[in-house]
Amino acid sequence: MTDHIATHLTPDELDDWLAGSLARNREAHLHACADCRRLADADRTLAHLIGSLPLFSPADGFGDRVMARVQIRRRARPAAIAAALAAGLLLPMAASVAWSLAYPETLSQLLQGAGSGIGGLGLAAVRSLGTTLLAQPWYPWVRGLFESPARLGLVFGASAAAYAGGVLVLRRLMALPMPRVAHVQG
Amino acid sequence: MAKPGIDLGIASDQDVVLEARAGRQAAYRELVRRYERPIFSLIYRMVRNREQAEDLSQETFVKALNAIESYRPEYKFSSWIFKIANNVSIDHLRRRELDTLSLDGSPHALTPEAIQASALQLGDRQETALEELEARELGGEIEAAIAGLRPEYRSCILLRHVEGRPYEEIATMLDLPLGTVKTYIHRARGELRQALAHLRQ
Repeated sequence: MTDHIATHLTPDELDDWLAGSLARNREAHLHACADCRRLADADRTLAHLIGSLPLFSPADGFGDRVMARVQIRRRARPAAIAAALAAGLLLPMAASVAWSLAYPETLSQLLQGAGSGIGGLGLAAVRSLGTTLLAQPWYPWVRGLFESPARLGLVFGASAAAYAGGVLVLRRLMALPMPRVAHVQG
Repeated sequence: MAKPGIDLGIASDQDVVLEARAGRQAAYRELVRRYERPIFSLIYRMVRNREQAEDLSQETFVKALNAIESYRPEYKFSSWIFKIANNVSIDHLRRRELDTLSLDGSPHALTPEAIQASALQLGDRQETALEELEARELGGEIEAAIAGLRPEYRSCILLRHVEGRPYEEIATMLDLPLGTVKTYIHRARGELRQALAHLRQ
């Protein structure tokens, strides 16, 4: 086993020493080892020198030049958004009610005409869909799947697996890339 | 939650940001006032050219303030803006490959004449009379030694010792693993110790 007291301080331990949190047994080594003490003193001086470098000021009017290029957006207040939404919904509703009260016969005629028309169209669409399905060559095979519980289970199992696989693939595809900082080489 | 009419001079960064998001122009100005010197200093020490540092500092603030809606208040505003400043500087250095070119003047130079006079050629090992003049000044020695570091070491050492940021925060700012940040700082210190060894004698 390595003698902890005898080994020189690591860079991390030098950091600990600068921060005043070096372990006591390592402090003992530092006191005894001239090399480590020289290194630690040099690091402390360096940190002090760099830390005492002055801050520089940009030229006068820097703030004005920045502000001239900044687009200040006023964020709409929640109360204003709620009022706008309410007005957008309530005004058309009120107008609709007022019109209905003013022209009840016209409304009734419109509703009857639209109801019968929509109903007729819907029925025709369902019939057409049913006929088309029954005419498909694969229909008897699909129907056969639903006649046995075992087959039905198999179909549901395969569908669930395909769905889960699809979700996983989508999640990977839609994952945002991690932003990286460009580094200069050399 | 920031209240309207809050005293921006004593408000926390987070509160000032909330005021800025509400569209208060004075809050934007306050953020510029608080960070113009630290950001300019970092960028200046990275690119060593006053004019470019001004442009890049402006770019940093414009980027940050125009994207203030995307700032997440759970992080420090200072970390966010320093991150932008570092990215802007590194991108600039990458484009210009500044380290292989002339380094235009000492950060201590304020006039065009002084900037010209203190222009430093890192590629040129032969010391000029002007470099010797700069070398007499301790600050100039340290600045020159820092300028000689690789850009990634330079940003790490400046954030650590000029800005006093903890390692973890630097790692977050620079999108680097913590171990890499420590390594960069230790190596940078080693290089600086060597470069400044004559000062101790």
